[in-house]
Order: sequence, then C-alpha cells, then structure tokens
Amino acid sequence: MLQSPEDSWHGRLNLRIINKDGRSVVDKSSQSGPLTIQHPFYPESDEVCHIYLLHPPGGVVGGDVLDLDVTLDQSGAALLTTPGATKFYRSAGPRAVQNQTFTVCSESSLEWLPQETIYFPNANAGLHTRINLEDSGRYLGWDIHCLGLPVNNEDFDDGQAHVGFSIYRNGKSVVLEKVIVDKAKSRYQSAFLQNNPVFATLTATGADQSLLDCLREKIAPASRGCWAASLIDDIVLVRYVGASTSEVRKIFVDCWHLIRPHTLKKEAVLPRIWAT
Amino acid sequence: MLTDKKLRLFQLISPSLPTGSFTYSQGLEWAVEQGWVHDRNSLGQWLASLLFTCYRELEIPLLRRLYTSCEGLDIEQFTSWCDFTLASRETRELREEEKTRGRAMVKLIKELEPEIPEQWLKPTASCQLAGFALLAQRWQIELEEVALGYVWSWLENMVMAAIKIVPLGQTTGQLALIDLGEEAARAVEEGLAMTDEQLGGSCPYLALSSSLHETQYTRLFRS
Repeated sequence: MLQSPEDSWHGRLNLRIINKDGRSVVDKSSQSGPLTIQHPFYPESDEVCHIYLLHPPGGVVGGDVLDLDVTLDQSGAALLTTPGATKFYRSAGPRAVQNQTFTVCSESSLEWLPQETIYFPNANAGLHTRINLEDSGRYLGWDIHCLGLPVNNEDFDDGQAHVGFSIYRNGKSVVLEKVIVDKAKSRYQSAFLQNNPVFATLTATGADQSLLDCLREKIAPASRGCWAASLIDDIVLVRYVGASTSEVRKIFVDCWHLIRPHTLKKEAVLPRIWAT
Repeated sequence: MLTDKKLRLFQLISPSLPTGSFTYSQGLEWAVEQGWVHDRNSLGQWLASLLFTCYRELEIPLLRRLYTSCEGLDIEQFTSWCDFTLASRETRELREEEKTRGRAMVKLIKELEPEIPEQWLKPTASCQLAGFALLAQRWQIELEEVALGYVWSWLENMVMAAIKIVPLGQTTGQLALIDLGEEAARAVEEGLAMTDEQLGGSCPYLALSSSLHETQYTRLFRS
C-alpha cells in the first residue's frame, strides 16, 4: 500500500478525563483527522471509564503524523485500549509518526493497554510514547511491537522503526528508552533483538519489591521468547523479546492481573473487546 | 612533542582507576549462563552489537555532550545530561552500577582535582560517565581520544569479565580485543556525529540479561 505525501494526515486527538461527582468522564476533547473514540463505558464501576481508541483508516502511512494526547486530572481514572492493531504500512520514503503523550496528574490514573503495533515490511515509522506524571499520578501500560509480518514469513526488510518510550515525573526524566531498528543492525543482533520480530515493555508505577517478587514467581517462562522484570525506584518494567505477539499479550495480561490490585487497588476486569 | 596529557588519559582508562569497574559485567554473566556467549566469536558478536547500538547511539553522544557542557561551564546542561544518562539505564543493576561508580568518581575527583566546584560533583555522584567527562575535560584531553579511550576501557573490562566467566584463555581475550577494533573506532566516529534526534541506544537483550542477572543463582559480578 503506497500513498503519496499529499494524501497524508496530520491527525490529532486530545482528551481530558476527570472525575466528576464520582464518575470518570471525558471532560474535554478535540479532534482533527482520523483518530477518534467510542463513548466511554463502565464495565466495573463509575470510577474507571473504559475507552476504545479508534483509527478508522486502519493504518498509518509515510508522511502521516498522528498525535494522541490524553490527560487525566482531578482523580480521573481511565483504561484505554484499541480494538485492533496499530499498523505502519510500507513507505515509499517519508516517515510516519505517532506521538502518544499521556499526562497523569496527582490522584489520577491511566491504564494504556493497546493491541500490538505492526510495522509492515519496509515501513518507515516513529512511535513515541511519553508519560508525564505528577506526584501521585499512576500509570500502568504496555506497548507491543511487531516487526514485519511473521505469520506470513515476511520480515521487516529495509524498514526503519524508531520506538521511544519515556517517563517523566514532575518534569524530570526517570525512564528513557529508544529502540532504533534498521537494516544496518542485521549484523549486530546479539544483545539487540537476536532477530526476533516481537519486542514489548510493560511499565507500572507505584510498584515495590514484593510485587516484583510476585511477578517473578507467578509468571511462567516464555516458550517462544524471553521475558524479564526489573524494578527502578517504584517503577516495575517487564520486557519481552520473542516470536509471538499472542504469547507476550498473555504474559502481560497475567502481569496486569497481579499488578492492578497492587498499584491501583482494583481487580482486573478484562475489557469486553478483548474477548471478541 | 611528548606531553603528559596522554598519561592522564591512560590513567583515566586504566582498570586500576579505583571506581570498581572490574566488578561489573553488564548482563554478560547471564548471557554466558544462557549460552548466548560461549567463545571468542559469540563474545565478539555480543560486544559488537553493544558497540553498534549502545555506544554509537548513546554512550559516545552522551560523553560528547557532557564534555562540551564542561567546556562551556554550563552546569545546567551538564546536570540535565547526567539525568538523561541515568534515566537511560534500563534496569536496577545498571542504575546501581552507574550511581556507585559515580560516587567513587566523585571521591577521586575531590582528591585529584579539589578545585572543581561542588556543584559539578553533585550530579556526577549519580553518573560515572559524567565523572569521566569532567576529569577528561579538566585534563585537556582531546574529545576524540577521550571517546576512544572510554570505549577501550569498557571493551577491555568486558573481555576480562568474559575470560573469567566463559572462561576464555588470556590470549583468546587479546584476540577478541583485536577483532573489535574496527567496530570500536566506528562507534566513536559515528557516535561523535550523532544529533539529538538520532540518539537511541536501547538493546532489548541487554535489558533482559541484566534483569535476569538480578536473580542469577551463582554470580561473580555485581551487574
């Protein structure tokens, strides 16, 4: 799928979610371009709204820039997910970029649990996730990345992916990661990806050593890859590299079941859309 | 003409610099446990991938930025790159290493260069890379040589660790160091030219190894 730069989007979606009289609601939203949301709903309680993020074109092409900006304030709590994978299609040249900026103010919380991002063969993609935390703001989320189309035996070829993830607390950087995938690295894989198509990180703030021990004890080893966890201050980082997006999804959902009651004091309630 | 500047560089990159660099393996100990590193060739592949990604995209660019902040007496910028460095360490062990060696650096700097103002030592106490940049700039060593020296000291340290862990013969270790010369020079040359936009450096298998090293049953090394 090729598209000329004149057809490219610069899409924006800004959401602000607050707790209003005991119920988390979208207090403000503005949108231009294709990114949009369905009406929030409340499968567990009024306290947490579940929101599905939709991208009707189904994929991002070279030249597109999509900015997703979500703010949680005034004790707002939201669980954001996506009904389908985010796709970066092959590009004739220009980079497609998605910027995801999540700001979580004091007493508020955000769960970001999207489906995987697929980088098609020869895509040129940038995906930058930035979490801004204020004091007691809590974040629990994951990003799952799949290079190429491994189920079709199509590798990433000459594709390029810049995948950034950062957490800032009260303006100071506490986690900075950027994985850059390109053809030149095919010779240098040993400490990098060992030629695996899938890599992923789950991050949660408000964690402690007992939670880390619990994850290490209860989550089974991966059979098609490798997962590991570490704890930096109060941030637990669970990482996976391997062959399978469904394997890492299962590992992360299992982790989420253990982490959510610990850091957000809520039992894990599976978003309905995951069952379909 | 011979000057003693070169000697200061040799001092800075020597394993005898009392910052305990030889007690860390940066995940290599787990990589050996898994069989990812088991001989000269696989050791070379592990280290070359780190040179090409961590060193070329992050360590060397950061070293340059810390060094030029010292030259420009820009304490704010220096502090902000120190924070950046620490935030880029992916696991608890890698952070503890950065901080512990940073504190050791500060102790040393206080004795060797007591005139360096306290405000420069505060951020350095959590960032060994900053201590290295600070002394190198103080001693007027050329940036390119500093960068090459930094890479050399890391490589030598990793190979010495591999000799103990794998284990490898001393001569095999020396051959591994020669194998990696080209990659090391390239990491320095390209790393010094990186723009902020090009910074990267994350190596997922390094992060996995380092995380799993935290619970490795038998360990000789602290990271």
